[in-house]
Amino acid sequence: MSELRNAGNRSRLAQFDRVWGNLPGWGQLSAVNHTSVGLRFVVTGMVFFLIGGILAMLIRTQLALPEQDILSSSAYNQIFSMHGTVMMFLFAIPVLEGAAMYLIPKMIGTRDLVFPRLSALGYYCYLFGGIIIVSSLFLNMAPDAGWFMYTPLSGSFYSPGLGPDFWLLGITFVEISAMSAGVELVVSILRTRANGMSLRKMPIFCWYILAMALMIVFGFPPLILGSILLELERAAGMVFFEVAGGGDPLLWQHLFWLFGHPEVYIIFLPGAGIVSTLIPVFAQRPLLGYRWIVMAIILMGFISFGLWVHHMFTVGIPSLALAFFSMASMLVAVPTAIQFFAWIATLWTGRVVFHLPMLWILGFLIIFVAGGLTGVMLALVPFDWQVHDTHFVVAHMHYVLVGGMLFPLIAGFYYWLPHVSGRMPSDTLGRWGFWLTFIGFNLTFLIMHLTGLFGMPRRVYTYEAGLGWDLFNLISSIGGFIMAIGIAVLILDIALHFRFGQRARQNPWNADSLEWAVEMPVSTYNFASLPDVPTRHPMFEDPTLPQKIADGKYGLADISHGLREIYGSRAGTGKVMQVIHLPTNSWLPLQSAAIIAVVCLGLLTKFYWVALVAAVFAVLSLLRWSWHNGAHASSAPLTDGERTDPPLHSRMLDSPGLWGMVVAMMGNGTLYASLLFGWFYLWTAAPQWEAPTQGPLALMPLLLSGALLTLAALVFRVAVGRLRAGNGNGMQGLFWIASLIGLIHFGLLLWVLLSAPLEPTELAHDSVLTVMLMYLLIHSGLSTVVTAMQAMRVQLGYVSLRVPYEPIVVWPLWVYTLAIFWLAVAAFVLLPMGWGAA
Amino acid sequence: MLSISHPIQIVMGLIIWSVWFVVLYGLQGIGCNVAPPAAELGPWTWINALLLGLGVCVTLLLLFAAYRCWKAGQDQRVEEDSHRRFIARISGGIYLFSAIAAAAVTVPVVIYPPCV
Repeated sequence: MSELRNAGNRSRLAQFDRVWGNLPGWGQLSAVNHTSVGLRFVVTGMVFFLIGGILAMLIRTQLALPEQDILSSSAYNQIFSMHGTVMMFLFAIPVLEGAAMYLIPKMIGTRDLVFPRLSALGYYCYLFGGIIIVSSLFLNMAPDAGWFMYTPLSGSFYSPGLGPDFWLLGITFVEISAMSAGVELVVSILRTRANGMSLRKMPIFCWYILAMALMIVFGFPPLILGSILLELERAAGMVFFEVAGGGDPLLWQHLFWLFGHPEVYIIFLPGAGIVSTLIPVFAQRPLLGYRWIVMAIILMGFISFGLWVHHMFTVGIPSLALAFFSMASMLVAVPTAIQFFAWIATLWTGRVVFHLPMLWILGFLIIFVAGGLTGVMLALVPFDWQVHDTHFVVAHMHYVLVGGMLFPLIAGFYYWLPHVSGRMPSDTLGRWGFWLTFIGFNLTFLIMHLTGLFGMPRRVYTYEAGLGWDLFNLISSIGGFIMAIGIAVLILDIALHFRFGQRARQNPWNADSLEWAVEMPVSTYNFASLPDVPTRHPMFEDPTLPQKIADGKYGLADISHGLREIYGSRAGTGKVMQVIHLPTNSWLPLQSAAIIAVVCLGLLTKFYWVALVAAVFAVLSLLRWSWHNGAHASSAPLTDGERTDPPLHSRMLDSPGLWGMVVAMMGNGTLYASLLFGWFYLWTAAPQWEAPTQGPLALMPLLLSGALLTLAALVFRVAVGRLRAGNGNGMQGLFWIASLIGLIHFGLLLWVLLSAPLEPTELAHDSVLTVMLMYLLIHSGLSTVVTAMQAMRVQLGYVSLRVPYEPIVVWPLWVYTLAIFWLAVAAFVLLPMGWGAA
Repeated sequence: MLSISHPIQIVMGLIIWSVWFVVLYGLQGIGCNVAPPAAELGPWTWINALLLGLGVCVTLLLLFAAYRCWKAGQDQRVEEDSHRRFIARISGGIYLFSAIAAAAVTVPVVIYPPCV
């Protein structure tokens, strides 16, 4: 029982528990609150970490001595591919997303993330996708082309088995989870902060997560597109990466690393966020250079997108282009250095106490500096040519990722553990765990730099004795096992502390941030009342804040209505502008994710009709989800005497849904831009690019179809304009008209596609064109359907002048659909016509 | 002109840098595809000249924006610990870094031939 509960607040807090709590038994699966979902992400991620770790130990066992045959070359290929895949996609990103989902609402002084059902959907997509990928290991058909799946090795000719399909479909499924977390975190941070928490008062960790979430939104779509294209090439015989039909395998490398390099920073930024949060606590002083660090975070978020080609220095790109990327790769060291100097200055001017989490931070500082320096070395093109694809790169990568992510993550685990368990970890076991891991890690990977410099390539399953690599490999393997023992001690410590750990007092580390104002162990609603937070150090300035919050001294303390409520605030100033009603426990996320899993399995097993039927059901399930919103009886139905100061979000024009839609469209736009990049790349760089002499699309019907789409969007715009002006006349009719015109446009566009003499299995030109047309059709279809639903919702009273927000949310979808259509016409039809290329 | 205190200023410098980086890489690729200059010309080609000219313009633009933000950050009429000043100072720093970054990625055009 929390020390904050007393006779005065017990019954009210029990009511909060009922409203915000999960359902019992199997009902736990319908939980949507961020604490449960965040912890599920973290625990599941740790399970995948252990699986990835076991694979790492198999690799080190095989390489410990020369000429071993414990693993066959085929098994070894599967194991190193899966080690990278599991660690990067199923451990690093999801566990950090989970930690962010758990912490962010607590740090910004709210009760939940802004789209709770999306969090739950993301978790189930991650869980099911992860299970599908890992199951390939047990079926002995795991992907074996490396974690970045280079073509043509991963193409159907060289990899005819199902391994790459497991990877492509499973990873795309998991990435639904990443994208949903990205959208959710951006909108939550910008729109649900405590009253008065302006951007400059925001905890530094939130800046890091905001940058990470935006990077996910912009960074993942290129890989999603690449995976879709490669799967279409493998399964349907389309041509994107095959030279013979006008494709280019280098396109895959571009798409992969457009995602892959920012991903390193997507992983590093939350790790650095933990460091920036913990150092001031253990230095016992506020963080020095807050503004400098914010600047460094933003710089890193952008510059890291300009480095992708530094993974491709050896593929034959002109020196000038290499130099652009080499310069950008060195520039990214500047924001990293800014953060390091700020951390050192904070430590220098503080009184450092070496509690367990601080020890892991110290480990991070040492390891990450080393990894960063070898990164600058690799940014130099001639050096990169020397060590490319050797163990030097493997060592560098582990220094950056383990130093930059795992060490801060474990520091964070120890730091926030009392939150979850209400108990403190064991200092003795914890220190053993740290030193074993630290020594083991350095023994493994410091030596591995030498192994690489002595010329040992990566991804070889064995090596001859006497090449000068024997001792280095043996030491690395011994180090690897010491590290594994360290991790085992760590797990033992955490497991035992739940039973034997000392009870933690409120705010056990004397921290300054708001997440320590919640009950310990944590409740599902975080705060029983929502305080104003006009300071960066709320717990320093008012240590009695937790009790006042629990006693209901602040906003939204009344729970008698039985609804989940939070504040919605302005993005810049953090001033409260609305009350947001959040959905309660729901089966929709699990149901939708399960149906999407069937789509995935249908595609994997080549039962395409199963996949098709499941896809239809998935769309229906998601539309049903969208139906249960706004003024629907299950959400926030209209009542007399509603609160107006501040009003409910669904009664306003500016809602979190609009922000969610815009952020989602930004991610969607990145996918589209990647497709355009692919088109222009193949056109200008593919060695055997071939375009038909006559453009294959019927021009006039295409333009007519575009005119209809424009008309439909204009009609919708008229309805939205009237709504904004407070005039609800004829709204339902306008929505029906927009939907009907949209339907005719869709039919015409479909006819253009079906009647075109396209040969997508022969020509890359036609393959890209086909994908583009299908992309347009999906968006046109979606805009049409949701507009028809709006018309129905007007009929039922779910959309009206009193509940105006849904059409405002749909409008950006129309704008996007219109923009991509005309851009596609320009890039795929008009430009080639003008150029004489098609 | 966009207000100095608008939050979008925080990222505008880097958006301009990103666009410049894409244009730089894209124009080099397209230029080499459409009308590749002779290798023996070294960096004295129309592609390098075009990229250098554009690079200088982008850098100057970013420096001007940085100066504007710096001036706003010094404005004594604005409260020291205010949202407006915070945005101006962060934006100014980012514009300045973006200018340096734009110049840095342009430097190679005076050294290397474009298509070799």
